[in-house]
Amino acid sequence: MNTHPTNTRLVPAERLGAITSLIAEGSVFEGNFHCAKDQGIKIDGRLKGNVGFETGGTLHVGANGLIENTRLEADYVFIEGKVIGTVIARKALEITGSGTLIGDAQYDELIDMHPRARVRGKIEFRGDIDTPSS
Amino acid sequence: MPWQKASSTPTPNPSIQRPAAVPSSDTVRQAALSASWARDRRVARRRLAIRWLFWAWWRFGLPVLLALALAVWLLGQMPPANMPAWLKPMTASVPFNLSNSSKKPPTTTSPPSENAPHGKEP
Repeated sequence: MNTHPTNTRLVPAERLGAITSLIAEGSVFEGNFHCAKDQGIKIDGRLKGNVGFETGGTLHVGANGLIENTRLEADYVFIEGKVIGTVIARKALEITGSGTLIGDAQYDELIDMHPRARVRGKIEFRGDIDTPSS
Repeated sequence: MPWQKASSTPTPNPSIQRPAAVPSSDTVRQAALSASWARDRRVARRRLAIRWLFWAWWRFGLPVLLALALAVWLLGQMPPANMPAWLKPMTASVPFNLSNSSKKPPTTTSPPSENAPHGKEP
């Protein structure tokens, strides 16, 4: 059994391994996903709706995943597939070389875009821009 | 008593199969995630390779191909070095003389007898 997720550079592998919900490949989910706990969701199918985690949360969009007309909000967002909408990462946002983001992205702490990642939209750092980095 | 001892230890019947152990939810979750990661790795690698190839084609492949096509076309325009003289294009060059530039050089179409005074023709 493979215990390592795909090549992640910023989002901890433990966070991806602790994901509790899965929208499988070939399935279509319409509606909003909301969670108050620090859990995670992986999307390999198609999702039309919002995903929100009040505290914590890990969102993994698989290489086959497609999210449309959405507003995603979580601590860690890892995009390998295609997202059309707004992404808010409270801690880290990572877009791999196979990922596509059409829409705006906001992050508070860290961002990592691999070579050949495709982004069409505005990327905004929500933290204090004048604070010196540690 | 011997009959009591025999009844207290029943022998298992091999014809009755015991049900398989039901996997826990965490085992199922980990298995699903592992299978999903394996699929992700495969699809992502293929898509990334296509993106790199597409970029390399526009960045390097197409210019090299155009340069090669241009070179081949230019080579096709040049006459070969061992071409016979009668096949080479005919060119004529006239030496340029600064001191006599206003004077027309004598040619076969305008013989010097043209300059003879009028009225003395035979």
